[in-house]
Amino acid sequence: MIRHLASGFLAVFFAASASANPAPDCRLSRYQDGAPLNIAGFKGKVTYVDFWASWCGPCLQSFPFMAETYKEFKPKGFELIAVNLDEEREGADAFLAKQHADFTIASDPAGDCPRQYDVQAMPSSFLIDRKGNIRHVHLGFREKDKAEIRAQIEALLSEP
Amino acid sequence: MAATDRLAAFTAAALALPGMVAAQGLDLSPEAPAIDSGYSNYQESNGRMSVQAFQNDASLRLGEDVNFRVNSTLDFIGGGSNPMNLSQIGGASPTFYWGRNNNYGRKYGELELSQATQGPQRGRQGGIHDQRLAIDGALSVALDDLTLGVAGGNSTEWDYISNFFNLDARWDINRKATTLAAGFGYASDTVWADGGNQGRIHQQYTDGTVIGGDKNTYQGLLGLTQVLDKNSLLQVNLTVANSSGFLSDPYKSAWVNDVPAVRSPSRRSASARAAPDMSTHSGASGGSPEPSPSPVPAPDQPAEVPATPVNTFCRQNVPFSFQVNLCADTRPGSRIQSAVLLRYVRNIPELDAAALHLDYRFYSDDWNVDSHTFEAGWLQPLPYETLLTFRLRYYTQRSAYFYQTVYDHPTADGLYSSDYRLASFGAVGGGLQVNKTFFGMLQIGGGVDLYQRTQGMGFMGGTGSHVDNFSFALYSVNLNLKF
Amino acid sequence: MTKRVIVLCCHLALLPGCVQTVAPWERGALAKPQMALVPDVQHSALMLHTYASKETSSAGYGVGGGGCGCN
Repeated sequence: MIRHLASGFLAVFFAASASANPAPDCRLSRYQDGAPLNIAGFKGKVTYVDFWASWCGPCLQSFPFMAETYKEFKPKGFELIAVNLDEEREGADAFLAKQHADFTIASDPAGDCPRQYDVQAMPSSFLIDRKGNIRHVHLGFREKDKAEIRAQIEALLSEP
Repeated sequence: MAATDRLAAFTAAALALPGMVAAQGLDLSPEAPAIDSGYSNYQESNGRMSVQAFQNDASLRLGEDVNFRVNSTLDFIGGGSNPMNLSQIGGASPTFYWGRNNNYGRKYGELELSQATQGPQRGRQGGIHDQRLAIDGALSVALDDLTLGVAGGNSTEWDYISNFFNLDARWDINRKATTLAAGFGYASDTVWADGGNQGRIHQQYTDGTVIGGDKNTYQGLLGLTQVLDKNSLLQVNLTVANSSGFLSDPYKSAWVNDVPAVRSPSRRSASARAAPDMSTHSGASGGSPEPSPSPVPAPDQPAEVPATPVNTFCRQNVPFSFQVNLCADTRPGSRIQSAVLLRYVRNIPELDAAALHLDYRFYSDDWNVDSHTFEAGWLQPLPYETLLTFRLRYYTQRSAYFYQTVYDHPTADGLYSSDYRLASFGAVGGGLQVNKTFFGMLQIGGGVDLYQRTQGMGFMGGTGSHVDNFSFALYSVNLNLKF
Repeated sequence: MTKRVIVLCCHLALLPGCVQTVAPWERGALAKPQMALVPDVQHSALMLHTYASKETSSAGYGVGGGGCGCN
């Protein structure tokens, strides 16, 4: 409970301040071929990092939204990384087979990323500005989050 | 057949617990729109009873955070085709016609020789004896970590009507590792003895009093569900229910020996005096049991039992080949029931994510009934999206304090019941079910559950009768569609 | 009975303190359908109804109403 509150404050803090909250630079690998991925490597772009699992219902709902958002904002310098946290790959394979996702799907072989980001719920998403700072955190996914997330992305994209 | 407690909710459904609330535990994915249909066929040993049940449930999303679930059950209850014989009657609770107001062609005091467990007694030719339709709806709203629900419904039989509503709340804390639940329920029931015309005729005692009455029940639930580790979770539910009103069985009666002979007219209650026939309906007037040196069943003479706060109705010397007295099943006017339920679920990753379920319930009420229920389940996922389920169950209870198989004397409190449900006994059961999923959204399954009640299998003490031993087989098929 | 329940509740109150912390992303096994506390709600309702009409203990699983001509 205390952690929950703390994370809430953290989110408010992120949201309210443009000061430096550098996104943890955890090491990921591309889901399809295991090629190394580095979140820091996306500096200069607005990056949306999403943590998901195949067994999580709201994650399923968020995928079409992420695909649409990615398609729309990619030309303006937007990246989207969906980090899979399934313990068994078969579940994620089956999940992805039914999704049309052009954005980057990552896996977390070291299993350290969600802890570094202090993921509090599934899914959790982090919006990182062009300078590599976490600016917004979203816990869970609901229909009503869509407009807010898009507005936040647009605002971050308009920043230098 | 009908149930008293239905649980819920996300639980719950149908036959038994419409509108249940219950702490279901982890709610990791939003409830998807779904339709669940089931058909089941219940067959009791020696043809005592058969039931066909149709369950149809649907859940819909009315908004992102609002869910509606509707459950319906239609039961067709048939009686036995293989009546008991007279020699068996001693221990069982006999069902017989008090005489007035039935269109079954039964005469005054005629004994129903089928050991029907309940329901209207038509000639035991295997026809339908009762029908039950139960419908309930449950609305739940998710407000972040809090889920609130309201449910209500109705269940109608030819001899029973129940209206009920429930409120429940669940609160997820500890990042959803812990769920607290609280629920409140109220049910208003009316029961009578079906005298024909699908329950439109209500049977009466020979003095004209309608058999049956109203019953109110308040229930409360507190629940805690805790994730223990990545592979296991535990739930604890605590429930208390308080019922008052007519809690007896309107069809049943008990054998009572040594009923005192007729008392002087001045001692008889007004209602008994008013009764034009040979029976006595004793009300709240004074008086204590008057031991009689020997049973003197005087044919066609009124008998009187001690006056008590409950209405006790007895009659003497029904037209059998032997002398006997019968008192209507009469139980206390209130009952407080409480139970603790523990549920443990464990995932076995090494065995293709099989799941072990262990449930234990301790139950206690103020009729001095205590019971233990042990249940185990094994759910084994198999290739081709098939799931195999094994279930085992053991149950034992102590008899109610006023229960007797045969009463040697009239009771001081005027309570009589030889209903096998209030006896001491033990029961074992087991089941097997197979489900297969097609296209990830359609599930078809079938199974069988067996049950054996045996007098000697209990360990709680009390009295009972082996005459009431029985078994049942319940065959079921189901079809579930998830969108 | 009441005393026993109180003791039980005290133990339960300590339960969250001694369980292993399970991170939100580690609930894959717990989310499996066979791991639901009531895996088959409809069948469970049928059995509870049946037992409630044959045995006198009908409590513990939730609150609700229903019909039971069986009393």
